[in-house]
Amino acid sequence: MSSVKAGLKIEVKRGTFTFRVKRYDPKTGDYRWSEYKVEVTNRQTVLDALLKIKSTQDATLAVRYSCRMGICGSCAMVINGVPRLACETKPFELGTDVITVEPLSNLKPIKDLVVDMDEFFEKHKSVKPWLIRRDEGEQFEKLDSYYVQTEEQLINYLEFAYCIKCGACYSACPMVFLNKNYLGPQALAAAYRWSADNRDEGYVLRLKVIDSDNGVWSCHYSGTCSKVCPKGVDPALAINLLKKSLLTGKPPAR
Amino acid sequence: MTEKLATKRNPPKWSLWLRGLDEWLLIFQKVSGAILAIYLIGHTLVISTALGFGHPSQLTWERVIGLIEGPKVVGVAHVGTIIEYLIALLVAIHGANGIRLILMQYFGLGLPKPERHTYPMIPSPRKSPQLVYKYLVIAVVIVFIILASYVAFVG
Ligand code: SF4
Ligand code: FES
Repeated sequence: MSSVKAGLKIEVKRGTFTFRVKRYDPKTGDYRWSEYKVEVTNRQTVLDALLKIKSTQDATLAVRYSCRMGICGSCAMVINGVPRLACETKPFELGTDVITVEPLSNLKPIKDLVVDMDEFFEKHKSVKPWLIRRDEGEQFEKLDSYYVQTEEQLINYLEFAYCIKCGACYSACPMVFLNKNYLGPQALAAAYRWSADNRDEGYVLRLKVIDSDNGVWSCHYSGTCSKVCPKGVDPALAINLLKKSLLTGKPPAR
Repeated sequence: MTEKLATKRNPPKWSLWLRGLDEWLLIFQKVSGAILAIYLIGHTLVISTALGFGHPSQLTWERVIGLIEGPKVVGVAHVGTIIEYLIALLVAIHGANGIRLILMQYFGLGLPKPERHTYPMIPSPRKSPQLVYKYLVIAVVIVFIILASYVAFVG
């Protein structure tokens, strides 16, 4: 029995695209461009195309990916000038015959399209992105009670919990470019996500990191992070809400 | 040859920042802020000199201010008028946008509440309250330009 509805036609189109790939060579420390022509269907993604290039044209092309379905956050790269997930971007929907693919900006390259995410994860870690309880015994030993949460309380932070740590926002942020130590949109969105969780009691511990020159005050609100986020996390909103909390002295609504 | 880890980050995509209103407002805000700060220092120095650093006299005032004002260029406007006109424009942009940021970030006016969203989701900078703000900033600046032009070059 087929679950496809009767009469539903799936139209498959084919087209050949030119991929201009910016590659970093760790041996020489230089960038160079490679060009590949590859045929894809309208149901395939940029990641599919890159993997096809890798298996049929150039096995040396380095790409990082894992889930191929927009969940793991490994495949973010700059496609036609905008950071996006390669596995969620279809060549047919980009509207250009030549597609440029570059590694994420604001991060150090490792090889070709693969970037070093260490500093990004370090910054994420620095905001203590986990559930903190005032009572350490309760947090680490007495794991026998449930914390109640209502639908309204969930919605206070749910939007920011969708982050898959892909780094697209970090790569798009002009302030991360200007201030190398700025925590960046992702880490601050994570700080808000945990601080706005009614089960968490760690807001004051995070303040030292959030309320600093490299924290929210490095944000000058270009909003680019929110516009490129593939998961609709809206880090700019999180940062603005954090600023509001700091300026009014009221902790995030939870 | 051995492989080594890069020490420099990948360069940014400038084009990404030159196509949105938010990004342009940020650029205007920074540039106008820097120019205004420099102007403020210059302004203080010129006026202090004109006032003879605590020993005011009609003669020094007229000589210094006359020098700064320069010759007439169009209508009633001197070179100095034009400089002041441009500075006033920067003040208008910096002020209007600054008020937008204060209202939004301090009072939270125009910030949406976090919500359970569905795809495709509209990021907060593209939601209507924030768009209204941004267009208001532009409208205020345009009205200001018209008024300032009238005062500087006609009235
Ligand atoms: S906030 Fe969005 S763009 Fe940034 S890391 Fe998370 S999912 Fe990626
Ligand atoms: S491969 Fe997992 S998000 Fe693209």
